[in-house]
Amino acid sequence: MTRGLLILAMFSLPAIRATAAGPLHRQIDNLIAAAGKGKPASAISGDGEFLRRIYLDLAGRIPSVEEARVFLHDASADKRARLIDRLLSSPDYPRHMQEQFHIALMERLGDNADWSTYLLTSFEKNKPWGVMAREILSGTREPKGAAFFLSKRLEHYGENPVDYPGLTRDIGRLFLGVNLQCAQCHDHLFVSDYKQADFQGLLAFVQYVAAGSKSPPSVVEKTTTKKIAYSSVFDKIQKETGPRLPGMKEVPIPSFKPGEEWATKPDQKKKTPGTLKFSTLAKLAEQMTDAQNPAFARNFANRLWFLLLGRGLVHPLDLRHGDNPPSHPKLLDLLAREAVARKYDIKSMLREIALSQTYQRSSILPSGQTAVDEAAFLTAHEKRLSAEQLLRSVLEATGEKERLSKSKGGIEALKVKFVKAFANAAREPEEEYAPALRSALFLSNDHAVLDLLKARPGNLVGRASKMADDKAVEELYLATLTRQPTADEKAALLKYLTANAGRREAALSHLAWALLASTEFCLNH
Amino acid sequence: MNTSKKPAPPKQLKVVNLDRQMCVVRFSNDGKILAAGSQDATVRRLDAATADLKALPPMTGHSGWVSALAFHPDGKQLLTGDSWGRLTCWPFAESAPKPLWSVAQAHDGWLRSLSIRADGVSVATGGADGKVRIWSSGDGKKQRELTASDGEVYSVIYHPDGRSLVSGDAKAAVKQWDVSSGKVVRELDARSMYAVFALQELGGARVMRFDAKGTTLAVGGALGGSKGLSAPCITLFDWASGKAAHTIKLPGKGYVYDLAFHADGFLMAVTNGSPGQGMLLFVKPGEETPFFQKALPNPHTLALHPSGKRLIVSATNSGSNGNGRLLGKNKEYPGNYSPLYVYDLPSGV
Amino acid sequence: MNANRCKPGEHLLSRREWLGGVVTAGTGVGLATPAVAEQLRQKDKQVLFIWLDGGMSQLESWDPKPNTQFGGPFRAIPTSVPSLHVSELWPKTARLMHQLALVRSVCTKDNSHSAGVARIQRGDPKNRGVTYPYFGSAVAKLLGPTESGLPAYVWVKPYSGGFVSSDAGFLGPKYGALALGDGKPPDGLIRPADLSAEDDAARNELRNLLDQGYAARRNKKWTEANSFVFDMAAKLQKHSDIFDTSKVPPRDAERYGTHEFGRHMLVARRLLEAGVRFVKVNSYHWDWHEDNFNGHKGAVPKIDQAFSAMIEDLVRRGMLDNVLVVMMSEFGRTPRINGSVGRDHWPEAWSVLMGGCGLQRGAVVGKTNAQGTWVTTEEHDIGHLFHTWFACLGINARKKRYYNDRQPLPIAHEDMKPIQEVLS
Repeated sequence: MTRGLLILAMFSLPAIRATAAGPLHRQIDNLIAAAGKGKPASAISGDGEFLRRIYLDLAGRIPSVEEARVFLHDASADKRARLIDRLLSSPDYPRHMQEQFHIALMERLGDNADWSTYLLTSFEKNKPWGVMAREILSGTREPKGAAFFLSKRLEHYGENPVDYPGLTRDIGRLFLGVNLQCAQCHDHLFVSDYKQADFQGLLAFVQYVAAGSKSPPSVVEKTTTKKIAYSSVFDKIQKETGPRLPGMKEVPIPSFKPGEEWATKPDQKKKTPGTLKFSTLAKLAEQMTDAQNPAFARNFANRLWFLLLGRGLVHPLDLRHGDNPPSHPKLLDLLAREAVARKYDIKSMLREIALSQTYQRSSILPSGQTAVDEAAFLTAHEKRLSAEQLLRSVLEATGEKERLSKSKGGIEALKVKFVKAFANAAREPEEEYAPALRSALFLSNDHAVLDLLKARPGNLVGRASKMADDKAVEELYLATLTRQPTADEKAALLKYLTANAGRREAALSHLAWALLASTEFCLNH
Repeated sequence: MNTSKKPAPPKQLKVVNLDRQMCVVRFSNDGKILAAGSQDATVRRLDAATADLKALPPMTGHSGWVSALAFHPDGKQLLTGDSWGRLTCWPFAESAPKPLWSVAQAHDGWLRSLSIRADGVSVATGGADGKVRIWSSGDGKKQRELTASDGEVYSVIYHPDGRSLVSGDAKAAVKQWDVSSGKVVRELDARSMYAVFALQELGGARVMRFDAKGTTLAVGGALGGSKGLSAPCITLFDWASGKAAHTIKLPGKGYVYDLAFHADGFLMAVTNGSPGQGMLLFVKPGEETPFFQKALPNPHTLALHPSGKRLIVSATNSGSNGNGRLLGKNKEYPGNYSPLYVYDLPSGV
Repeated sequence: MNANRCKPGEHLLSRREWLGGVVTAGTGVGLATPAVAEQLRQKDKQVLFIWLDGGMSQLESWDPKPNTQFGGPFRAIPTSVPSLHVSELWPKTARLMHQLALVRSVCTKDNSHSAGVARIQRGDPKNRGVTYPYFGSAVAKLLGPTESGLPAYVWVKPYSGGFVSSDAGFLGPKYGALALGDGKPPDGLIRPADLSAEDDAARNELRNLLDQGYAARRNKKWTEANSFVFDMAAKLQKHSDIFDTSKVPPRDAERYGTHEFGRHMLVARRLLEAGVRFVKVNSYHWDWHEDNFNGHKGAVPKIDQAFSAMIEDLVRRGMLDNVLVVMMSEFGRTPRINGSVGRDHWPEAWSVLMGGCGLQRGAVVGKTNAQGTWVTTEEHDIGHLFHTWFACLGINARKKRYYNDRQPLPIAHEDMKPIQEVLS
């Protein structure tokens, strides 16, 4: 089996006509190939490259040395497909999905234990995204924690009023794939598809919702009795709208006599919130997943594609409009249709995408190329690793996972540091790799990080210190980069070890550091 | 056990508005004149025979704020000090008083407080330059200079026996000075009345009073906490031992701005924390809570009539604050003014 | 690529000699054209931006109205600029006013903190539906880091530190501020005691080797980005003695003061000396709605002390020609004194003190009326000040544009222009 780095070959994909038949992953490849005719494509990834990538994408960490050895030695033809299935069934999967969706949906606005539990159990059960979206947007109190998406955004900050426009914008961005921010006060100046009426219609769903309790998170809704009045700052013509998703019909607002708006009244003594006869949140949840709202399925498909491929078919993820069409419109349509047909089954969709050749391409450029058109998906995109993925990967690589799991609060404390060093500030989507000064300083000098590299029985540096130089170098590479060193790399590292033979543990520790701090480790390629 | 009487709640008779804000108000020794030091550099005189407080011609010649004043025991002179450092002696009862004497730079900067010795021979002043100076009240000649603080002196007061002088500063350092030697006899510990918060220096010994016999020294200010000041307070020192007998934590926010002992043995104070708020409080030494308190917007200073039966509190009008451009009816930028609350203090129960 | 650009190894003369040589013709230096000299000069420009958060009172500082209805208790003192008086609370700065420039005609729109602070620091341009960058982020973008390679925008402040990317607005987090909480070094700056410089260099060499191999067959942008930040980290570590308070000469500590503002200004000076492009220093709690006069009396001397020490040092080191200094708040305070002896927010007529690079020394621009309520001369909004400061830094804000994706955006309020009378 090939280990170590791949030899580049330039592949020109045969022109295959896209057909409607065949498994989804093959249809994906056909459409990518059809659109990519004449463009250079990278080779399919080698086993080491694939192995590392799929672990990070489905389990949120790199493979252990043992897991790597097993896979790399496996000669069976279907080992990749079996690995995909194994990872999808592992306990790492739901935890990784919980973290990824938390980052995507909350954008580091804050944490909540009930919300984390909600996400985790949802992914453990492979709850369909349609169900999750309805739970999250309806502000329901059961399951506990689902309302955090809404409640956190409805909090007060200092003297500032509650940021309803921000909540409106986030619902549009994250559930529909449209960023209506610049359409709050007038039709969007540059995107003709984004109208002020769209923003205001979306706002009308949430304007009478307020934050409720923090723990468990909840929201409180007052009944909507009238449309929102608005006017453009440019023409100042008075308009009004009831709740309306872009592209859909306005929800009619019934009128009630005061006191009659409750189906079940709130009970102050029992502390039950009551249910409204007409709830705009309930309508929002219902309409969002309605068949008449194709934006929902398209956004879901696009974001799942992004999770694995590192770039959306619509790019940026929240800017789908007429002048920014998807790079592969037919593919997006296909994925959206499949999503609906599969009832938004996340595992099912991820499996198909992961099985595709498109996903499994190498990130090594086709020979002779110094750059590629990223929108063609003919070369794997180098993806950002979240702070959480980095933490788990560092713990896996250094062999310190077990020791820290056993220490009280050890992993939690380290997680806080990793988030501080690698995560974005609140409301900045973590979509691209962004090397930052604070990350470099953290990796370089943080005591907790360097402590992981001290030799201990069983950890990476400890094991390596008991091996001969060349075996030690191989162990370091396999543990951190899931590959073997090149000849040049091995020579350089052996030279360093020889020069520092008198303080071998320290030297091995520095070598391990260099591997962890390298771009290759810090990216998902 | 304290057997002093306490009056029924004060009865508001009238509110008389002065056109500018006042820093300090005091009754003359015979109670016929109310003097007010103003933010417009004048010394106001009001006919205190009736609650109408008819205005008499003001006395001019100061600069900045007239922030300190005291009546001479001879009943004929009024000493005033301003925020530019001037100290002036006036024959206040004349129709058009001219200064008997004046020292332009009694202090380099804000003359914060002045106190006249009981025998009337000298007047002590404390100021922003950290000095306490003692002047001959007859001709204004400087008799002595004490370096009382490396910061600002906020308050000075003579002991009724005239042998000691007490200074209190911006850091709530309270020192007793021997008048004849000019040396510090002891320090009284009021450090709890000072706090530093970021660059802010907060608190200090804002106002000090002796009771009639000089057995208790009351220091008014606020209590320092970790985030600044926590509550207005009065610390009562037992003069004989020099120990803080009691610190009364007062309700509301801000500082004690002014303080007086009533002959019946209780304390009267005004506190002021934020615009529109403030309180008038009566409290007995030894007790935890005031036996009388009344919310009063923006009080600054109080004057007790020598009979003990009338109290005047000078404050600032309500609606005194607001950000940005708030113009009056005639589109002019409004200034604030001082309502004087005139109270009767009926005899006690 | 500018063909005239010199390579670092060719600088046999010191920078000052070199520039001096360029200005006088025929010195035989030979390499430079005026354009290159200007380019080099522009590279050296730096900014010191002191933010007194909460609204310091112009009546207790730069535009006193002693002995008037709203003047308050303090006196005014003469300064080193003939016929210019400032509040008696600023004796040290008063002696240095001839090195500085003052605009007393500032009239801005927002009297609230929560919106006002950001509006002022973003230059309050016309609403374009994007969040404009704070001044520090703008300079970090427009001028970049100096040759030192140190982070372009560093913020010395009380309380917490970290990376404040929100300052950068639409420019993106790369142009945010590196905030040093209590002037302390950023997390991870100090190399652990058991890690030697040699080992650090060796391990980074290996890291670079690995990156080269990785980038050999991939797009170079990620390894380049990583090199950039690791290099900057290394450069910052070389200057870690900036944060070592034991290295501060006792005389400096005495002159600047041992309070937090003094300490922070010292860190700021050393950051400027090391070549940080834009240094912001914050002081909080200037919002004196109550006890305004005692409040200023207690806090101002500390600012006066450290600010004047800084100006003296910049002058002494010949840095004031290249460093633009600004000290301001989000607004001034009301002439009307409220019932708690305080002043409220007043954006209608206030002052901004500045000095240094591109400004005329001793200039005093604008007047308010006798009471201090309104500006009587031409009013200047924060947009005018941004135009002015950009001009000081050699940037024509009437022409220069940002590009947000493809959308061109003016860098300052497009209807405003620099205050000519204050420019040199």
